[in-house]
Amino acid sequence: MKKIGRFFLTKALPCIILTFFILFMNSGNYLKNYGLAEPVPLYLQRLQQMIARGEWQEAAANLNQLEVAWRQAVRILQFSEERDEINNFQHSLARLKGYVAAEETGGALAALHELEETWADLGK
Amino acid sequence: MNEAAVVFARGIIAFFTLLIFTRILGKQQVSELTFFDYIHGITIGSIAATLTTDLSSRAWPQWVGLATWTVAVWLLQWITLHSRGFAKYINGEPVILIKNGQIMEKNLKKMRFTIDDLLTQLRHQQIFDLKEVEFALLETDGKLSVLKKTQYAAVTPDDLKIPTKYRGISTELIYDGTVIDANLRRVKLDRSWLDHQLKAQGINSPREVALALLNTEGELYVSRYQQTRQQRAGFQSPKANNE
Repeated sequence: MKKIGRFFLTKALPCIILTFFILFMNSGNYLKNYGLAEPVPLYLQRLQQMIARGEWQEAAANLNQLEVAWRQAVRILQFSEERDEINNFQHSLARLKGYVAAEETGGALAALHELEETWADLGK
Repeated sequence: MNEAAVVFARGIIAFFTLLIFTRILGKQQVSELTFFDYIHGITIGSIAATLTTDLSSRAWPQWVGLATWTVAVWLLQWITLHSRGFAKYINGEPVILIKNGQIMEKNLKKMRFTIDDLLTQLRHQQIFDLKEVEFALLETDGKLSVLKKTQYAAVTPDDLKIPTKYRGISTELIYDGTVIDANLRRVKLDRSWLDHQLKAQGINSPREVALALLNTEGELYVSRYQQTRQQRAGFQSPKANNE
């Protein structure tokens, strides 16, 4: 019994702790859509279609939903991702809000592509 | 983003990773570290610090850096344990600085050691006169080992043919007021013997004792608390209050 306890403390426990740390540090890629009503890329895809069709009111509503989803996702992502990547997404989101409010297609699509790229990079 | 929470989580990861990795690398006295050991110790510590507070980079690459250094050091340790030649190449060899009472100036220069450094190291070993020294070697950890001339060496009981008794390691019987029963059983004694010994020294309870050691000659060393537990907890005796 003592041998098992010693084995657990000296070998098994450190292995379990290190494995947990490794999974935790790499959790971003797997958990970035966890707990969201819809995955973020789906919001982005829908926004792209709305902006292309000039449906600005629907786009603004969808953008608010995306912002809520992002706030939820960042709670998990912050532990495994770079601060700059998170800030980039936040800034692109703010820029997109401005373009949608101004109903400017070119700028909105550019900001949208930025968001897609940043989202794809998160967790890599 | 809650930066404080992220730093806290990363700090926990870095702390326990470092704890586990240093256990893997084994115990080594700081004073026994070679220059290379010292450098990699600093590097591993620095990576752990970056892992904790540098939020501009992901935790995972930093952790991989930490693991890489640990594995590299562990590998080097393993090879040096199994190959004497490699160990000499990595850690270097002891260098003779004084040979037959003569200072080896070439070796001093090679090791970037001044005569003042040599004299200082000798003084640390209670040697104030160079003529007492037969050999002095600079070890790989930077310490000086000295062999005195036979006429200056300390006399031992063996030199004088005096018989000596066996002396081993003392056993702790009371620590911080608590009797260590396992140690009592190991030396084949019991509480009644201990109580009797304490009473003989005017002690009524083990709780009055900070440390009690039994040496291999069967003598009990007892160190009592200078203050009672109550006094240490902030209660003053009525006598002390009156004073």
